[in-house]
Formats: sequence, structure tokens, C-alpha cells
Amino acid sequence: MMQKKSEQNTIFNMSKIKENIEKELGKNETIKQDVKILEQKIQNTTENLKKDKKMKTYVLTGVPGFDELFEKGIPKGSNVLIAGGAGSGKTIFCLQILEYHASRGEKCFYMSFEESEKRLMEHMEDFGWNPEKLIASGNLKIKRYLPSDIHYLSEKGSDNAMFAKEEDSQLLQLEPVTLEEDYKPDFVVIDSLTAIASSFLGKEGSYRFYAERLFRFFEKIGSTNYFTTETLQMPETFSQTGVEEFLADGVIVFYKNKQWSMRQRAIEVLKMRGSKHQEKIVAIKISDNGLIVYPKQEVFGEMETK
Amino acid sequence: MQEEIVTTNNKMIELKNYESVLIVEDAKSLRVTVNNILKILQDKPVIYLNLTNIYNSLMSDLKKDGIKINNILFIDCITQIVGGNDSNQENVIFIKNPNDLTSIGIAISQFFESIPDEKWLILYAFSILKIYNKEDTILRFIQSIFENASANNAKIVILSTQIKNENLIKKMALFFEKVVMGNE
Repeated sequence: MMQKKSEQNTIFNMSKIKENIEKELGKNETIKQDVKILEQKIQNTTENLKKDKKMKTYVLTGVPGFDELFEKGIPKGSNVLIAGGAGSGKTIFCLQILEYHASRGEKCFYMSFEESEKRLMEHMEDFGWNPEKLIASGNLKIKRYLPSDIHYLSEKGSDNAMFAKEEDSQLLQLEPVTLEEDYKPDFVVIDSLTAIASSFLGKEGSYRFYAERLFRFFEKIGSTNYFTTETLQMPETFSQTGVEEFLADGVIVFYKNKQWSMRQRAIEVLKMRGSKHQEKIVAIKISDNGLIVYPKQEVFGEMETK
Repeated sequence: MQEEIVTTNNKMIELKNYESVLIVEDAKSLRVTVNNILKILQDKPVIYLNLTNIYNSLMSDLKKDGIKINNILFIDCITQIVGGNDSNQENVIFIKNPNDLTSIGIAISQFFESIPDEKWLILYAFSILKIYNKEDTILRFIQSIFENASANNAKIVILSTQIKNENLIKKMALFFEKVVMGNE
């Protein structure tokens, strides 16, 4: 009897154990199902990410040697700051990029707040390029603006008031420069942010607000944009107020290193979101055909900061 | 190719055995040695970094010694700085100043990359570089040349007169497979 009871107990216990196990198995099944669902989700997400990566395109500049500084190129649609001192090669670099793309049928727009259209075309001709042909084809547009062309609309009670930090009592809604309605550029050069900033003298807060709006404006258009900004010859800061560096997706810096009686030009990709790039200063030369970058060539000589 | 050169201290150097050679001698002897080297390398592509004579004078000197220059590309760092005649010559690149090491580096690397076979860099004379450049800059420049040469099947011969700063020669000597000091 006792034995039977114990047997029963054992059996009972075993049943309980079995029940528990089956419950566990049941839970594991659920977990397995959950895992399967999760795996499926992960797979879907991964495939979507892969698709996104495939869709993420990169653009080249066409400047000899420069594109080798990148693993793939500049992400399309980026806002890129081109910083450097006077005569360091910024304008030539930008003109060369637009010449490269316009020659390939892409729409390019050079917005100049400094030099005249005629002067810029002369620069291009100096390097053997044909700006007239590109303009006639509709692939290149060069237009000069005065910094005072920046339009102001004052609006009371505007939602944008929260962004106005200036002691200036006027609430400003700044309208970035207008593009012609039917012209949708693939590449835009804004030359220069320094000139634009000059029209905000005494209103640096408004300029910062404007710069932010300007960057967002071009983001919406979807073009890849190059903003030039003037700095010292051997810069340690790369924009007027610092906000431009922060807003920009990429920063490319031109140097003009003083060496005794000569100046040596150099270039560096300081940052480029979404793209792997070399992190060193390399030599550049201005040849008869435009700028050439030597991606493997170190620059020798002292880097003076004045 | 005649493989041996003899320096003024009668050291025989078999050029083919070394990737890099540094020769330090007095100025007069160095001139003889460098011309001997150019004679040996006449059939090889050579880039000759000239830091001593103006171009016309160098050509005259080589011609007198019967050295063929068909396979030599000259980098001339002296003619322009002294205001000599730098009219268009097919086989010479004029550099404005011996302190423009970046441009010199570009010329050398482009030469190396454009010739797949074995080629040579002759630098004459290293001591002149010291006048125009700081020591650490020179060493970085030499290092970059070696990196370039190593990647491109190039051999290096550098010739120098004795300089006051022996430390610089000693530091540079570390780069070379073979060092020949004139006073040995």
C-alpha cells in the first residue's frame, strides 16, 4: 500500500513534472514563434536597410585626385562647406565641379554673391572650359546676387518667433534666395556665405537663423550644395559663426601654407557625414586645366597659422 | 648593365644588390661618383634630382663625360632660383625652390607610378636640401620617398657631401641598405 502510494505519489509527481515540462515546452514554442517573428522582422529590416543603402547614392566631383579621398563619394543631397583663405582655390574647385557635372547633362547653378557672371566665365575659360556652351545647353546657370537681395518679411505673431534670439524687436521671417520656378538644379554653389553674412552686420543672431533656413531650403530641393566661406589661410575655425560647420553635412578645407618665399596649397576633407574618407591634408596644384589633388602626397613645410 | 661603381675611397658597390644606397664624400669626389653611377644606369629609367648645377651647366658636364641622357628625367631645383635659363626642355621639370619638397615629391611619385619596371632615383646632393629645409621636414620627405619607392619597384641613390650636422646623416642612414662614408 505504502509502496503503491509512493508509486502514486511518484506518478503524481511525475505527472506534475511532465505537466510542468509540457507547459515549459508550450512556453518555448511561444518563444520560438516569437523568435521566428522577430527573426522575420529583423530580416525585413535588414533587407530594407540594404535597399536604403542601395538607394543612397554618392556623387563625384570630377576634380582629379579629389574623389580618391573618399571610399564612395559625397552623399547626394549633402550640404558641403568649402572653407579657405583668399586665393586658396575654393572658387576654382566649385567651378570645376559644376563644369564636370554640366558637361554630363546635369543641372548646375552657381549663385555668386561676390564675383560677376562675366568674371566667373572668364575664370572657366582660363582653364580651357567652355561656359558659354554649357549655359546655352541649359545645364549651367551663373547668376550674381547682391547680399542685399536677401528678402525680409516681417510677420508679427509668426511661429518662427521662437527662433528669433536677437534683441532686435522685429520678428523676422527670412526668405532664402528664390530660385526660378522651373529650374531644379542637381548641383548648387553658393559663393559665399561670408558675403551673405556681411549683410547681417550687427545682427549675428539673425544671420545664424538665416543660415539654418538656407541649409534647410536647399535640403528640400534635393540638390548637392557647396557653400564657400572665407577663413584665414591656415584656418583653425572653418566658418563665420561656427553654426555653418555644425549645419553642414561636410566640410572641405583649403590651406595655403607659407613656406619662406612660397605658398603651398593643400586640401583636407574635415568631415563628410555618411561617407568614409581619408583624414589627412594632401597637396593640390592649380594646373592649366584646373585643380589637381594628389591624394597620396603629404605636404612638407611648416604649417604657420597666420 | 655594369654593376659596380667605385667611389674615391675605392669602395666597390654593386648597385644591383641594394634597394637604397647613401654615399657621403667630399664635393669633388662626389661629382665623379655621381657621373659613374649615371653611366652605369644609362639603360635604366632614372629620375635625377639636381640640387647643385644649373641645367645648362649640368648638361654640358654630362655630355663631356659621354653620358647618355635619353632615359633620364631631371628635376631641376636650382636654375629658376638663380635666374638661369629655364626654357622649355623635354627632359626636365623645373622646381622653383629646393624647399618646395611637396612639388618634388609629386614629380618623383608620378615618375615612379608611370614606369612599371625597375627605375632609379638619384638625388644629388642631399647636403643642399639642408640649406633650404628644416631637419625634421627633410627626414619626413626622405621617408615618404622611401615609402613611395618601396611601393613602386624603385631604387634610391642619395649622394651627399659631409655636412656639419652629422646627426642628420646618421638619422638618414637608418633608411638605407648600404651606406658608404668617404672617410672610411
